Amino acid sequence: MRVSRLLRTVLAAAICVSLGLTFTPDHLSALDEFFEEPDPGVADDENGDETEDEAEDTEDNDEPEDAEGIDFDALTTAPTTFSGSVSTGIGAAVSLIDWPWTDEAQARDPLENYELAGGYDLSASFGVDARPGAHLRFSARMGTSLNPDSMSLSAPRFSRLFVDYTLAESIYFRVGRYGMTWGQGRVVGNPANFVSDVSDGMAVRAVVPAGRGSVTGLVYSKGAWVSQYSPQNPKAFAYAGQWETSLDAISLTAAGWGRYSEPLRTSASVSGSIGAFDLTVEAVNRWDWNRPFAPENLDLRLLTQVLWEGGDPSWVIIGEHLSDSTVPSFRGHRAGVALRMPRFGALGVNWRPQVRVRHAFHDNSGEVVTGLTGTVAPDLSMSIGAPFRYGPPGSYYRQGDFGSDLQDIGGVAALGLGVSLSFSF
Amino acid sequence: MKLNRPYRILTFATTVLLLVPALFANEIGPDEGREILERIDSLVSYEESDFSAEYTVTQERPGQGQSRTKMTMFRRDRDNRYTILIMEPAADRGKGYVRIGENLWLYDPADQRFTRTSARDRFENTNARNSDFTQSTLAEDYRIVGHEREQLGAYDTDVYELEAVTDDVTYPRMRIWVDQDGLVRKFEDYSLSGQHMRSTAIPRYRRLGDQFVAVQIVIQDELRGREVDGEFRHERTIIAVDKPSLRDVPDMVFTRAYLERVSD
Repeated sequence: MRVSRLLRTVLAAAICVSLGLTFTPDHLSALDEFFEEPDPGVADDENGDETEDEAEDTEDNDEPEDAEGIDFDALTTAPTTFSGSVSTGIGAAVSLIDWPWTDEAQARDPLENYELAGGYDLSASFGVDARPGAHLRFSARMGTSLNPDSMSLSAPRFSRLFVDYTLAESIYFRVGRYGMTWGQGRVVGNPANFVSDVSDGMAVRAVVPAGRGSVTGLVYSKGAWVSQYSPQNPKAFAYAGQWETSLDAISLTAAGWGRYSEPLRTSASVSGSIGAFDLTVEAVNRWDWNRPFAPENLDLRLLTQVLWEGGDPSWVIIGEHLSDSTVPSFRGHRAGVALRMPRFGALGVNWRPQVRVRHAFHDNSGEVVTGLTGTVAPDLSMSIGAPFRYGPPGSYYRQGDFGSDLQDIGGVAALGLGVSLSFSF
Repeated sequence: MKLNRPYRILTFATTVLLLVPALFANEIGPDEGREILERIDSLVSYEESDFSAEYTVTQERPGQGQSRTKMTMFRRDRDNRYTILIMEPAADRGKGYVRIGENLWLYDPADQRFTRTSARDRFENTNARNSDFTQSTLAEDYRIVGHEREQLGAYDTDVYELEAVTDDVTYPRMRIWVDQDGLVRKFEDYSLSGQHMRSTAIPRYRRLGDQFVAVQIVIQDELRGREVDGEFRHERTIIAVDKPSLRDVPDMVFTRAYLERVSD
């Protein structure tokens, strides 16, 4: 009798589970409400037996829709627009000058091993953008910022001022002052970024499509170079070029940079995917013809980058290794990892956490930077940073300040809090 | 020990109920399966022409409101290229993607550089993936491992269970509901462990010549959502497509230089 009752109970449970598996609400209802009515967009052709008149009607109906299309000229032609942006912020930080167990820290009063700092900033920029024709564009942006030491605003400076001209829808020129970035490095440095100083001067760039890629030519100069030579002298200019192309799942890039009296710089990179990972290898070399060719005179940097994007919600992990031949005894290795993690909600704020870890093998120094950024109110964001670093004083990652939101803050560890208001109009 | 009559009937009914779908499921061979998927792909692929359209992507997060991204898309399926320009919100205007072959690049005007990215990545923090905007490659990426017929609202549909044949796809398993015109009306994405990740409905298509363009797409995240007024609501992404066209697109549009040219 007991067995029978048990069996009944088990059977009843099994039936409930079976029915539950077969008729889960999810299976029945996920988005099914969208299909109660047939789609009018294809209804005319559903049976495929339309008359010729109906077919013509359909074509007639399609034509105006298709003719509407995207207006290509409208993407590159626009009335002159004026825009601006303002950013102001306040922050405070406490930093530890040396780790307490070190001789440097023990030589000073414990309280003197801490440093308190606070600051504020204000910056503004104004811009104009004119696209009178599909082949023409003028853009300029000028900015100023507060110098807290003198409570004065810096002299307004053009961060960009350029003219774009596109010849025959194929050759694209940009002339003026602007910034650009070459190279693939994102964590431990970007040695192939030969053009990082373009924004300090004036440049002419031409881009020509070439097969499944493009060729870029660049000529630029800066004030210091022009004052050394005359503005007409080719020695006052730097010359650079880049070729990039895609071969199925692989992309290739080669670049060169040259200037009178400076070593020629070249780079080559190859990127591709292996399973879920994107892999990039980039080699950068400086060719100093004045030094005899020998292994010890090599000025070679080799960057390896692995990028993984995945998860739900999405994570991005970038790992990099940089080998530097200029450090003796093949000890020039640096490695780093940067994480872009999903946002999470806390205290009513949607926070974006970030972590970056870097290590230099030649002097065993490194840094770990953790931070949180969130928008606490419209246009108002808060950031919390907690970096620390290790290694002997003066070693690779123990020089200078912590950078970013903790400029002018040095030491081995810090905790900073900042609030900033920024908006554009 | 004997079961009484009602239990026996109930047990029999349940067994039949569970076996019926299996009895009606059709075995589909690899070649036939590939043909079916190729036909499905061909209706929404534009090998003979270029494709362009404006997409409005609305992200609904229950209890947190909506966000909207507007973008312009250009596709050249025969060369496996596409370009996406972000038009709204203002903070992201000027960002763009260009895909050449299997290489996808993101241009961010803030730091004036191109970075390699993956089509697996979420599109601009929505439940859509970059791969949702590209050429349909079901025949290349999946094989049919199951088939049954099902009524989906107003549609008689063939439901195919798909299994990935490559590691390059976002989801290793899918179920797709295909109407009698060969158009995918709904699909569900599953992880390798069988976890239901996303459901996608395509209630509206627009016909352009012999091709079709999905002009209304609703993506429901099966894992993310929030309880609102005592009811669990999933995050949803609604994609509306406007101005679809098969007109030729200038070659220049499919270059990285074009992104720089149109960006702010």
